[in-house]
Amino acid sequence: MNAHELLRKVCTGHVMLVGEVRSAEIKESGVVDKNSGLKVSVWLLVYFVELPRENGFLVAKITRRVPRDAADPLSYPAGAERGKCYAFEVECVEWKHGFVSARMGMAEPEQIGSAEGGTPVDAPLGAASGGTPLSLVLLRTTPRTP
Amino acid sequence: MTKSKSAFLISTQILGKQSLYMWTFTFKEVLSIKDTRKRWNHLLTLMRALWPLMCGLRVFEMHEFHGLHVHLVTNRFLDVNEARRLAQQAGWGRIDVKQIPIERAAYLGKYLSKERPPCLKRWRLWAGFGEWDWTKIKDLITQSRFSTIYRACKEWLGWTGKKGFFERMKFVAWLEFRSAVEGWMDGCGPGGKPLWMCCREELIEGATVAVPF
Repeated sequence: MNAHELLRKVCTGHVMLVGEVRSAEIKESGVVDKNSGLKVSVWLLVYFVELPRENGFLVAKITRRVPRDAADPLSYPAGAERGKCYAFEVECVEWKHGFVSARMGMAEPEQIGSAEGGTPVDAPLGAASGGTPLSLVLLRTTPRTP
Repeated sequence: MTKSKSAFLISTQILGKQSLYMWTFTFKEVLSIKDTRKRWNHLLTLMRALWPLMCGLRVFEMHEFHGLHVHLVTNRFLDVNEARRLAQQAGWGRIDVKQIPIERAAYLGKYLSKERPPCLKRWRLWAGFGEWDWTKIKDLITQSRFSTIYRACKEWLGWTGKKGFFERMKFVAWLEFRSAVEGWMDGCGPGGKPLWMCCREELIEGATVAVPF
C-alpha cells in the first residue's frame, strides 16, 4: 500500500491506523464458568503498534479474530512482521487504560510502501508515484511562497 | 465477545445436550417496550402455571420495523396449541417454534452483540427462567493475558477494593505491552521471574512508553 492508496481509503470512510508493529502474536481469550466448568473462547491476533505522533508515539493494541474454521489457530499467519510499518483497517477504536485499543474486521494488515512503484508513506504527499495524484494531495503539497 | 454473551452461550450449553426449542413471540401491532415487557411477564406467568417444570432462556430483540419481540429457548417439548391459546390470552400475536441444534442457539447470542438501542439501556437483554442454574456474569472467570497479569499484580501488590482502579488498569495495560514486546511469559517479568521478584529497574529497562508508576 502506498500513500495514495492509503489516502484514498481514508477519504472513502475507512478508519485506518498506521504504525510500526512491535509485537504480533496469537492468544486465546475467553471465559470459564466457575460452576459448570464450561468455556467459551476465541483466538485473537494481537498486534501492538506504535502510532507516530508529533511528540513521540502512541501505543495501540489492535485485535483481529482468528477464523473459527482455522484448523490450527496457533499456526494461523499473523499477517504482520515485527519492526515493519503496516496500515490496519479497524472497525472500532477507543481510548482504554492509556492506550489506543482497536478491533479489526477480517481485512489483513497491509504493509506500507510494499506495492511495486508505490510511494512510501513517509515520502511527501504528492510525490511521484504510479497513479494519478489526488487533487487533495496536490493542494496539501503546494509550496507556500511569501 | 462480551461477558453477557459468553454467559448466554454457556447457559444454552447447560440447558440442553442435543437440541433445543426456539420460540418466537411477536405482536400484530407495534407496542411500547414497557407494554411488551408487561405482556411478556403475563405470558410467562401463564406458561409457568401450565408447565411448572418449564425452564429456559428468553432474549429481547428490538426489530427494525416490528418493535420489541421475544425469543425463547426451552429444552423440552411444549404443546404449541396450548402456548398459542395462552399467548392470545396475554395479548400476543404470532408464535413460531422450531427445534434447533445447540449450536444454533448462538444465533440468539447475535442479538446480544448488536448495539443496544437507547430505550433498552439498563435492561436485561436475556434472562433465564424456571428452576435451574443458568450462568451469571459473576460466575465467569476471564482468561486472557490482561487478566493473568492483573491477577499476578494483585497478588504482588496486595490490591484490594476499588481504590486507584484506573491507575491499576493503566499499569496492567503497560505491563501487557511490555510482556508482548519483550516476550515475557504472561504474569511474569524478564527471565520468567514472578513479578514480585522483579525490581522496578528490570521492568522498565528499555521501555519506550512512559511508565505509569
